[in-house]
Amino acid sequence: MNKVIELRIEDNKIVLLRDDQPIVNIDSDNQKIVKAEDLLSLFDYSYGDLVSIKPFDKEKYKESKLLAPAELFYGMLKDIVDKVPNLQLNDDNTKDIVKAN
Amino acid sequence: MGMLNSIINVDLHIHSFASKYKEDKSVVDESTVDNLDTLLEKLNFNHINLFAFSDHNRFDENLFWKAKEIIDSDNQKYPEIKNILPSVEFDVTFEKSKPSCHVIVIFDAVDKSHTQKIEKEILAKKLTQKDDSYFIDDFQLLLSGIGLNTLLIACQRKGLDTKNGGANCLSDACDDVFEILETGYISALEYQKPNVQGMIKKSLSKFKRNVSTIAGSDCHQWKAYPKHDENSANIYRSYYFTIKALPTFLGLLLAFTSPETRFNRKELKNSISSFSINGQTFYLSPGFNAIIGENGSGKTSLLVGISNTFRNNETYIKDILKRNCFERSEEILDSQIKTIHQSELVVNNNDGSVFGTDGKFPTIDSSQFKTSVDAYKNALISSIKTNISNNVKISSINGLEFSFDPDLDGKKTYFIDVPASEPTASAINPHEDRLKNLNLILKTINDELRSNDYYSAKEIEKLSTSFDTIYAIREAVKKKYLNFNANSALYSLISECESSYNTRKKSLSNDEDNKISEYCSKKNSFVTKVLQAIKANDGVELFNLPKIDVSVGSKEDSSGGFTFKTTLAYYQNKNIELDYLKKVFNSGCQTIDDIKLLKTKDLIIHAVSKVKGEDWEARIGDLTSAFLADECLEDKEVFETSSKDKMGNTLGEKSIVFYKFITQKTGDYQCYLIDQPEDNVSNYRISKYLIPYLERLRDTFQLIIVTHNPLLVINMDVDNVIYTEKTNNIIKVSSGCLESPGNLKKISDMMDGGKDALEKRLKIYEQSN
Repeated sequence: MNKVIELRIEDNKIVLLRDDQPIVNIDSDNQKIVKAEDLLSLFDYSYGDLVSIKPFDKEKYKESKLLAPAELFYGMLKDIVDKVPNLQLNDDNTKDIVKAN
Repeated sequence: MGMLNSIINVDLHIHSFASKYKEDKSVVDESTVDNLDTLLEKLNFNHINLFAFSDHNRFDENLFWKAKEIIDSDNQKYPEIKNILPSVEFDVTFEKSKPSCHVIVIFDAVDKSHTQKIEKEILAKKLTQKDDSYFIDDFQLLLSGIGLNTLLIACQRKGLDTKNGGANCLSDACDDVFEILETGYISALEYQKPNVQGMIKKSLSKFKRNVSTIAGSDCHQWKAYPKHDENSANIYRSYYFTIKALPTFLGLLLAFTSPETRFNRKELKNSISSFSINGQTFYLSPGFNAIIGENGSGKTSLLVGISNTFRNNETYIKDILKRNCFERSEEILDSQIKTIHQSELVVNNNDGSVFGTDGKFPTIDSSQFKTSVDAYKNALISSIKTNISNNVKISSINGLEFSFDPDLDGKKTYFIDVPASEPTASAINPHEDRLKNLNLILKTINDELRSNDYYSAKEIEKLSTSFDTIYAIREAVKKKYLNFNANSALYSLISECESSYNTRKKSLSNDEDNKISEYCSKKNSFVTKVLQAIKANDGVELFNLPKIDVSVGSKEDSSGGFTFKTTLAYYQNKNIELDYLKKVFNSGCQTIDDIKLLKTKDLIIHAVSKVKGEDWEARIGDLTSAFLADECLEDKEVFETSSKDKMGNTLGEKSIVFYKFITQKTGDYQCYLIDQPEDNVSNYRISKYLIPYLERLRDTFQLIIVTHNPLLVINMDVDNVIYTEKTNNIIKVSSGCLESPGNLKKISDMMDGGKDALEKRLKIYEQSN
């Protein structure tokens, strides 16, 4: 199943969505920390699934003081999404055994 | 050239007119030299091959030589009769208060001077009254005066421990009959009725010495032979005995000293009858033949020639045999001959195939054990690594400091903080072993499915269903395995991207932002480390390792009355886990409690045996392989299925079992040729095991052995000795049975220990003279 993630700025918050469902709200009033584990769960990676990211609409949020931090964070997310298909997975031990006739 | 012996019928108890003084009736009146033909016709008709006149306390020399002259004459008037031996039946008093006993004495007389001496000495000490007897001391003086080798046969007409019935018996003549028999003074006991022989043998059953029991006709009236006289109704009586021997004094002596190999023999019909070499023909016994001679005298060449089975490196034997014009008779097929070449067992023992294709040790599937050792190893490594990792986490808070800054605490930046992630927790995929195990199961079921000529259709169906069930589970586990790998890879990718994010963030941030960010990062790291240390010390039990399964490791198969058992070293080892730890770790760290204390990588590297570099995990893998190799070593045992009598594992012990095994494979072979069966077998085992085994074969198969061991020749009482000599590649052969003239001396002179073996064998004979 394909997954789509998206980054928006809504109500002075950076919002991260997956398949149109908000999963992380980063409130500008509070210091927010996003750990690697959080990002991993964001991808909720399942082998063979494709993950894509919607483009970040800079024009839409040009007035927001969160534009620069959001754009920087988006850059990292896109970087990850772009590199996922190139991951080298070790599957040497998964050779199929076909039943004898 | 010597002679081969054969099965002969013997009657050593025939009277003549010379016994007249003891007889009330006129039963011997016609048993005179003039009527000799009457007796000889009867003996010939009754297939008696060797006989003796044993008159009461008398020896008629004239009668003896007349009979011998007729027997030895060229016209072969009585072809069945081969020889006559000089003999006398003496009345002997062993103890003054006891009745006398009849003792038949056979003399080793070869010419007239000997027989004259017998007659002369007896006449000099002649008994005149029919109830007279020689006292034992006088009897001994009489025999000493005659000065010939003798065999003494005592009359015994009842069981040895029976007091009533039967006159003139040895058991009535002395207080302790067994004491006399123990000395070997008496060579045989003579019975008349078959049931008496049974009683005597029963009495002797607990007696160590094997005493011969023989029958004689006690014929007085020759025309009534084999009856005592024409008025006897004793047709139920035994009147001769059968032995395999030359019809000579020495033949009789060897028969009496080895009744188990000389009495009750039968001739084999299927055997190699002869071979010829350099124009001379030599006959083989259908029983037991021994080829003897010095080293390099051509024994093995002769054996290989008779067997007609040449191995690759034996072309030189072919050349020698060709040069000596060797030929073998062709009564039996080569396929009916089993040859065991010299050193064959040594070679086979070295490659673990003593029993060759004839006896198969079962193979054992040790995969269950190996899988469980692997699981134990993986769990051990995992526990060690977790132990180290936990220790790192706990150690990491030692001296850890974080300074609270009220100016920075609680302040925020607009940037999202993404702290550098911790190194990947574990490279070991927890699903890998499960996946391997399931794949192994699937492969095993698959292999069985391919053996579809073994299983029934129903069983195939069940196997197929099992495959499908396991396959579905395998697919689920495979998905977990792949997800773990994918997540690990993704985690690394995220870490890499985080790093680049933080670099960019730093360049975009102002000084205040950076201070806040750095403070938050330190605070976060401090809190995380403290939380990890608390978590690492949460009491989760490590080193809860699975047991190693040693339940499958022994198997037995039976063949030809023998059980072949294979046992792997680990089988039912109750300390297998401890043994494993001893193999992997150095002393001082060989228990789980010791290993729990190894909380750093350095400690582990020093604890694991001979680690090169830092890769202690790989070294544990190597040591585990070595442990598996040691523990899967096979121990092979053979024992008789009926007795469970284990024969041990030395080559000597195996050899004996091999001979026993191979010769019990009935129907395949008619003739066994063995080059030095005594190799690697101690003299004790030769006497206790090898000789009795070969003993059983002598009337079932033809045996031809090459040997240097006099025990096998003398104690086995071989039927034919083939003596070889070689000069300038010309093999000279002589052969004959043990009693063949000159053979005993040749064995005594030629074989190491031959004199001792002969002395022991003939001890009884020597003591009586």
